[in-house]
Amino acid sequence: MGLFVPQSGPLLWLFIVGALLFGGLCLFLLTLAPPRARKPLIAAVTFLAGLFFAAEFFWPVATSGDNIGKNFLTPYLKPVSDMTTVLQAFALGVGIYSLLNVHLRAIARRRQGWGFSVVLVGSILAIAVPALWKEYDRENTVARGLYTLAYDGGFNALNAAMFSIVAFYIVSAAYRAFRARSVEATILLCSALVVILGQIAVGQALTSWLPAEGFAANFRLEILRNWILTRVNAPAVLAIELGIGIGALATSLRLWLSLEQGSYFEEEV
Amino acid sequence: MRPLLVLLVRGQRIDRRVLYLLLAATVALPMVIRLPVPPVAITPQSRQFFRTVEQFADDPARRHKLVILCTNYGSGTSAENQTQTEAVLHHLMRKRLKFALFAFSTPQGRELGKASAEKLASRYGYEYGRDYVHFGFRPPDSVEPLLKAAVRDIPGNFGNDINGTPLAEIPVMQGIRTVNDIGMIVEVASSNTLQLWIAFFQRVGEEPIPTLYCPTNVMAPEAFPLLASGQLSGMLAGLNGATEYEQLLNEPGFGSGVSAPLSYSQLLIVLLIALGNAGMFAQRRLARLREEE
Amino acid sequence: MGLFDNAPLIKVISVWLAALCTLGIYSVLYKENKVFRFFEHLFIGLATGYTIYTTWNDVLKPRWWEPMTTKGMWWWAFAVPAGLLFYFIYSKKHAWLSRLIFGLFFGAAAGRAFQGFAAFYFPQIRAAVNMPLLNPPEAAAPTAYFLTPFSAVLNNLLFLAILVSVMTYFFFSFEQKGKITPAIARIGRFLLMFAFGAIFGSTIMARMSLLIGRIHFLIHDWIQGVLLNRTG
Repeated sequence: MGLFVPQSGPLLWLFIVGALLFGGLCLFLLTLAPPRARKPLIAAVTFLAGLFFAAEFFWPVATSGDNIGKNFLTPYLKPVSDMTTVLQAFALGVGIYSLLNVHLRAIARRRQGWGFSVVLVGSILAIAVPALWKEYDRENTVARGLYTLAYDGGFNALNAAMFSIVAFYIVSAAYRAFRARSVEATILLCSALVVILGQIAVGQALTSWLPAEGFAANFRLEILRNWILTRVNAPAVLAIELGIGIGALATSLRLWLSLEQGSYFEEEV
Repeated sequence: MRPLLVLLVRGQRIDRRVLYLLLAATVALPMVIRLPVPPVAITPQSRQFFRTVEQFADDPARRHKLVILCTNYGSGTSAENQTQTEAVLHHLMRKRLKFALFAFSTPQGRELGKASAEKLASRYGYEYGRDYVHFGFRPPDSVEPLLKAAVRDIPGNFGNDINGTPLAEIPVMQGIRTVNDIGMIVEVASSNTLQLWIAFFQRVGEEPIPTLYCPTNVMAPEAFPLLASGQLSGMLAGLNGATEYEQLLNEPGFGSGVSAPLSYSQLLIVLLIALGNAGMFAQRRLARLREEE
Repeated sequence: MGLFDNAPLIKVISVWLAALCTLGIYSVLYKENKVFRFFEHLFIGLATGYTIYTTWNDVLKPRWWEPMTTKGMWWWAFAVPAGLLFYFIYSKKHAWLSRLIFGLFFGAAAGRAFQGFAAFYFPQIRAAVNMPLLNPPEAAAPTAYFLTPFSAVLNNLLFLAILVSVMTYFFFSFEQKGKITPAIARIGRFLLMFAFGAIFGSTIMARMSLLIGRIHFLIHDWIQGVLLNRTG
């Protein structure tokens, strides 16, 4: 592969521009693909991408020598994953485009609540600009200061506040919705109460008079809680996860072989 | 009897904002007036975590190996995960173990892990580069092949540290080459990142690497099968796991400081569940009484 | 420019901002209002901006731009037309092109699923079916199992019974007929409720922890630390 060697100087930029032009040409040729070739093309790309990772896993590995534990595909694992990581990053633009599209339109047309759209667009710039600025000018205190205000003062606090607000809704739900209306709900309720009381100091104090050793110790709340988690919850969770795991595996197989059905997959292309 | 039933039924219509205020007060008051609370009982999983670190530190054949401490969380769950990280760091530093910080779920984890290590380093005389290192952040998608490749060459595949220095040039990394030079893995997580260590790194060396887990409490119930199968050698579940660890280390931190609000807020939930159900039964009872009349 | 050289002052302002942001978000608890809407949009904007920054700084710059422009790996330029495939989603005529790149990711995720499944779940299945059912392993029994130590076997049997009954409940591949299978599935359903109760209990703890983190910030860092100028 004499072509794929690192270049430098003006030649490097020539190669980069050449690659871009070649890539652009490929894109143009793809747009000319006849409709009947499209689905097979998509299926082939999907299959090949899956085949690489599946084959790397199933292909026997060397059991001795310098390449112990590797097969002929293993060395390509890192470059291929680097490529998927980079391509995934390119997808970010799709989301940003959609977001900006909605909000810039709202601002331009002065739709109701357009002021909030200004806040949104402004806050994207308020953190991204100083963040990138400080990376290129590390000694710049203005960039660092602005970033600290946006990141510590804004983003971190808002993130933590958003996560924590659920606690309030749980309190309301616990009072209004968590009722022993059926056998199942009663079991759930009892199990939850034992677990909650068994995990807090004031709950544990209710049975702390029981001896710490011997048969009676089994009825201490913290021990009951641990028993529920390790002996009842663990096998139930394992059963659920095995079900999900096998289901995910089956779905993976269907996606890989382009057998998946549903609106997205059956749409005409 | 009847007035009580009526009261319980009327209580059902209480404004949700009163409940919110009650919760805020239950959390805030114990922080201001320092309500007493007994120490929380230590779970077998936390004790197992502690024992695993102690045994590792006491084993002359293993203690020179590197511990990987993964800080895979952001500011959203830092109340739980940051407290766990600091409790574990206390133990690692107290035992003078070599460790590497690493993050791959969000870049925030890189900064939070770094901040915790820097906060405690001076107290234990830890110096960056000599006693610990930071592998920096890697995007999640790139970690599976990274771990697979690192099995045979850690400095070569992880490349540079957080400051861009090649790992091979960092003193603490001397003698750390393959998976067999890793002594323990500690995963502090707010999402499902543990699987990568277990699937691609834990059992590929000469002997399984003890793996310790610090999930948020939401994720903890899912990890119990992994403790039963031996894939995990200990777990600190959420903030209470961290509080238990602070107790085991006799090193009160954030967890021990907020033990009272943590206890009382959950007691409030228990009381509200009980009241809510009492209200439901009262309603049925009242309806029956009215029918009989 | 003096303001930004004064690190302690920046810290104080950022604590003030953080407190305002927290209270602004909590204002929705009273009722839906404009202050909350402001902070909600601020959050989305800051999160997007932060993602742009980290995507460039932690992914594209070190893995794509620098290898291409400073290490001479010119072939990384092919990532641009490949990445552009995503954007055809906006074209009515050529939207199918975006499916090529989505297909690539579907395929890659599917191919990776095999390995993750095998390495993660097989040891768990092995551990579950290898539980000692005859001889109590006194020494190995952890200290806090229910009815320990004399009934390690009972506990192990129970573990297996729960595993089987819950799996039976989730078995939808054929109709559950007869007397035994639906009965086992029903027991599985009840046992599942035990697990859900435990999960609910743990979730409560998690949510309270995060709220405590925020309120601790408001009381300790903001009110005591900045407003009353009292630290410690």
